[in-house]
Amino acid sequence: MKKQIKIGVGDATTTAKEFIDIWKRAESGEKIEEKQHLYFENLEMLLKTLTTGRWALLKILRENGPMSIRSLANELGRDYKNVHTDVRNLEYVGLIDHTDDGKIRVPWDVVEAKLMLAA
Amino acid sequence: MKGIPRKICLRPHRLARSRTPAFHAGSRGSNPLGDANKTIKAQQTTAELFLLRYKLLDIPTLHRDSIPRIGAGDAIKISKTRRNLNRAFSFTLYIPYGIKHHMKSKLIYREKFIYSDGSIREMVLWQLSEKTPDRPHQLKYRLYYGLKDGTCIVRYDNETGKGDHIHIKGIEKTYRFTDVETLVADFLEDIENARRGKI
Repeated sequence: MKKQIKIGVGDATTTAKEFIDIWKRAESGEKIEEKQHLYFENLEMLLKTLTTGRWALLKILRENGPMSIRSLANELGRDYKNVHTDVRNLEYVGLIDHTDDGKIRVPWDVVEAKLMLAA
Repeated sequence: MKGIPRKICLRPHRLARSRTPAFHAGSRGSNPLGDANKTIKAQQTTAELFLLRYKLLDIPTLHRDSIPRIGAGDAIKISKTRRNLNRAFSFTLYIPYGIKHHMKSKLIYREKFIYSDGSIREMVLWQLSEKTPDRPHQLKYRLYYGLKDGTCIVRYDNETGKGDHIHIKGIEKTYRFTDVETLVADFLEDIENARRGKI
């Protein structure tokens, strides 16, 4: 199965309801497929975290598989320090993780973003 | 000039990443990587041994579920009950420590919520393979709220052996679980209070 994460913007209370929903379904014995979500409090925060540069970084990293930050920087032709900052930020929100041998990787096959213009 | 290092580094040593991993990245708490598989493997091995035993003894095979569950540190002695066969078939299987409380758990939900100041809320839910008295709902959860630098402010979880409990700014308290709505509401209220500087 493809590993999928959904990204969106939402308020703290509404987004927490999904946890309750999944809990209840699981408690009633329903078989539940793993679900992963990433929410931002507002669009500014989302766009600040997911810049075009970082999106390109994610794509390259996903295509190349686990690699070191240095080889990723070489691949992108960018400065190590900036790539490092980007990786740290993407790691923080869970779009990048570490392998056991200290390399970085993208644990996702699909990143689905949902943005609403009106509620 | 021999013996003097050519380059004296004056800047602080920069680590590849900070010592405190960002938000428990990669941390599995008390569910270390591969542990669940170890338990299953151990159980399967016992199951196979029991089946083998019954086969050798010519006892009708028991259903897999009726095979006793094993835990860490258990030494399972498998030997013949019939005297005349006693020496022919007897061995002991040791189950290593470290897998005692780790039943199989399956991640079913993980949500990260990023506040505009960079603090993070995480809500994670696992489905367990068995019901236990402290987790009759067969679910394991972790609700976390922390700052961007990795400081944990609020955490609710129901780790095995400890029951439902909360950590607020490093202080641990037991939590009386009623239902999931209350749990989430209490958690959100703690976050709100923390964000307003009330905790």
